[in-house]
Amino acid sequence: MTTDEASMDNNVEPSSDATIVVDNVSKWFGNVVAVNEVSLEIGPGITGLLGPNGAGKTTLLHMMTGLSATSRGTITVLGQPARGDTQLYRQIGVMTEHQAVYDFYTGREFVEFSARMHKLSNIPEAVDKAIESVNLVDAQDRRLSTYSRGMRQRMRLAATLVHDPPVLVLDEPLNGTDPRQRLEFHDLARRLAAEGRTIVVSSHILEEVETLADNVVLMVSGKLAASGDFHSIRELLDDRPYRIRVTSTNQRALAGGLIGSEAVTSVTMEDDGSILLLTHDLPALQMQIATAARDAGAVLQTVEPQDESLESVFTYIVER
Amino acid sequence: MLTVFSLTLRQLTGVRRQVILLLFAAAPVGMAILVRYLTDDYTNQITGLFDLLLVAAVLPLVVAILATTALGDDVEDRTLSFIMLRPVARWQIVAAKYLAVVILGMAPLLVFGAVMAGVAFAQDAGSIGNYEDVIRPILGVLAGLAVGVLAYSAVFMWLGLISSQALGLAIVYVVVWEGFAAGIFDGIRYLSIRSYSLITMSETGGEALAGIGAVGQTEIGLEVVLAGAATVMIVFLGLTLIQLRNMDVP
Repeated sequence: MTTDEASMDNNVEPSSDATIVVDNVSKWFGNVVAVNEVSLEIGPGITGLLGPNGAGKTTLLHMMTGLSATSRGTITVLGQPARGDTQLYRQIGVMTEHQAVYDFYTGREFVEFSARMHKLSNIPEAVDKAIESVNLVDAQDRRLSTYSRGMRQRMRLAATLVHDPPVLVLDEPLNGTDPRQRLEFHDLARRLAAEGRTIVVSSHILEEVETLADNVVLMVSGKLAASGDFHSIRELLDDRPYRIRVTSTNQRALAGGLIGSEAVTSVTMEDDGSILLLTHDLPALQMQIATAARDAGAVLQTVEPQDESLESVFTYIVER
Repeated sequence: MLTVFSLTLRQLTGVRRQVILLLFAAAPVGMAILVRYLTDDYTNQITGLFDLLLVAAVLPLVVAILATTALGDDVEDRTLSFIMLRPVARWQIVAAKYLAVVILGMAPLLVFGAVMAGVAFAQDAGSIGNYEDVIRPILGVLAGLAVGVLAYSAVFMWLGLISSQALGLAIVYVVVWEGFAAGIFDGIRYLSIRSYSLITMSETGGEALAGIGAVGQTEIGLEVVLAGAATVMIVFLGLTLIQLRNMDVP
């Protein structure tokens, strides 16, 4: 992404420093639309591709890396079509989300395999450097079948980095890693980005991307929900009202008491008899619910937040 | 290409798979030995085993076990992206995988095929060096098996790439098309790998294999058979290449 401002606009004017250009791309499987008219640009630095499971992130990444064809639209990487010319893979390192590896290889053999496929001139040196970068030197001669999930991910990352590509596409690279490994990955990614690389990292965990990415692309239900600088996106997220469902022994009196409260944006009596409250100030609302219940002579039975899932947060942005 | 070739060799030489393949490939030899020592007219009986057991069943089964998994397992366990995301021409991937399947398929089949032919045609230890009666039939069996391996490997490798049920489909193809349909309709001989293999044996194996699989009744020459087998090989390797280029890699 080359804009600093968060954008809800799906039409992006190409800019000169974009490494990856996605132009009006759609992908469908039969009647199912997985990616729907997405346009975006990604430049040097770390870009987080964020969205709930099933949002179309992996499908978009597969098209960016040429693993899948687009149903409509075009994608270019470093000015070349993403699919068709295998020589483009000299410039791209891709780590897919699937954790399958060749179990019969040792970690080092696995990275060497990748280096040989790239026909590198100095394979031992490149392999040493890649394995050192993921801190797996001590385990490099063990079979991959004996690795933990996090170790496999890191050795897969080493195989992705071995040819020193200027563009990295990493699909859920932190799956299975522990907090220390995540920090190490963050350091490595930042170091690689500081060298001018373009790095795309997908995740369904907001906090994971928040601490890592300079820019964010938000996807929901196959569509581009928002894109731009992370802090601008975060403001959009923080701007959404919280939804709280309340039940008590005297709903009508409690609802009447909450209408007009400063912390309450709206009060709705639902069909099931519960009260749905919208608020931008959750702590103040909690206090006012208690006060209103006492004043109404009602006993609170349930106070439940309704939309803590990531998908509901993203959906809010789309519908906004 | 060498990297994909050696990778495929390692993928296909798991202990369990190799034991199964060796047992299948060795089964006709065991049958041939039994027939030799239990029947009087053993040469004719064993010749029948070449058709009904070795060529009709063991050859396609051994090749199917290898070829359907050469690319099929990569798709199934989602490791295909490891080779597809590298700067390697797709034809090199197909060629390397095919070569590995052919070598691993030919090795047990040719070894046990030669032993079986030796059991069938060598009257005693002193006759082993006899070209016309022993060496030539052995070479005929090997040539027929080689033609079968080359053609079946191409067909079944493609099948493995397009279907997750490739092994089952391969068996259905062998039983229904090459066994049942070819037995009813004479014209199917032109489109049957089993016939290509048998006719090659018959044409190159001399008098001892002249009537194998009743191919003596057909007028298809060796040139036609080899051209047919080469066409099958080229067409299905081409289809595999097209599929690999156009598919969405999982």
